[in-house]
Amino acid sequence: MSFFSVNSNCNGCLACVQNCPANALSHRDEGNSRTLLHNMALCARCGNCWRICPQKAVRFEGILNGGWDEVTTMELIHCAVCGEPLYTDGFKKTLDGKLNYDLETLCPLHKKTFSLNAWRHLASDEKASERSEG
Amino acid sequence: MTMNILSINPRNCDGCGECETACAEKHSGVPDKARSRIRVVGGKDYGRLFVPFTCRQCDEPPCMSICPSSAIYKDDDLNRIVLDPNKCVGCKMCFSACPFGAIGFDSTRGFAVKCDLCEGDPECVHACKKDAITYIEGYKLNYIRMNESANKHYAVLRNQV
Repeated sequence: MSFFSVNSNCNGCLACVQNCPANALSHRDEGNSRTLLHNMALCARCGNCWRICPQKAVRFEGILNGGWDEVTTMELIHCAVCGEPLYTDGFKKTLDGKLNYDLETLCPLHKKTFSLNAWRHLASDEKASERSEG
Repeated sequence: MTMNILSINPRNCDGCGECETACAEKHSGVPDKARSRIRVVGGKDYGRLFVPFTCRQCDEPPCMSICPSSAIYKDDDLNRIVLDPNKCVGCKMCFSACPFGAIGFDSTRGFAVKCDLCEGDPECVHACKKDAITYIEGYKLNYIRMNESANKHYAVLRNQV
C-alpha cells in the first residue's frame, strides 16, 4: 500500500535519490543488498524521480491518482433483527468491557421495538383479562 | 429546583408524531422528524400500539459511563443527563450503549444528540394533544404501579430472549 513504488526495471542506480529535491528518497546498502527508501512525509509529490528515471522504473501513478489505501479491516456486527451494520467486533468488546455486560446487538429502532413488544404483550394481556372479567 | 419527570403513557398515544416535529423544530430549526430526539414507534405491525421513546434520564446512565471524552454529565438541577456537543468526539459509543436506543446522531455536524428536556420546558409535552407525554412532578407519579409495570416488562423481555 505504498504511493511510491518501482517496477522490476529498477536497477538501483539511485538517480532518483540524487535528484529528489525534497530528500524524500534514500537508500541503504547492507551486506549483499541495496534497499531503496522513500519517505511519504517528506515527499513533495513533484514527480521528478519519475521524470528522470533512466529505466522508466518509477511508478508514480499512485501519488497522481490519489487512490484510497486500505488501512485496516475488521469484522462487522449487524442488528440481530434487521441486519443493519452497527459496529465492529472490536467496538463491541470496548463497549462490553466498559459496561461490564454483553450488549444486545440491536439497532436503535429494534432496541425500541424490543420493549414495544413487551408493551404489546402486556396490552393484549390486559384486554384478555378485561374480556374475562366483563 | 424542579424535580419534574417526563412521563410517557403509550395508552394515550395515537402515533400522530407531533412530538417528533416539535422536537426537531426546536433543536434543529427544521420540522424534519428524522432529526427529532423523541421517536414514536409502533403501528399496525405492533397491534396498533404506539410508544414515544426518548431519553429516560437514567440514574446510572450507560452513555455517561462509556463516554471517553466526558461529554455526558448529570445535571441534578433538572434531574437530567446532558450531552455537551463541544466535547463530543462522535465515536457513537453512547449511541450504541444506550439500552433504549434513545440517543441520536447528527451526522452532518458529527456529534451525538439526546433529549435535554428543553431546559425544563419540553416542547414535545406542549405538542402532545393526547396527554401521552406529560412533564409532572415526580412525587405525583404512582411509583408502586410503575414498579409493577417495570417488573412485568422485565418478565416479558426476559422471555423474548
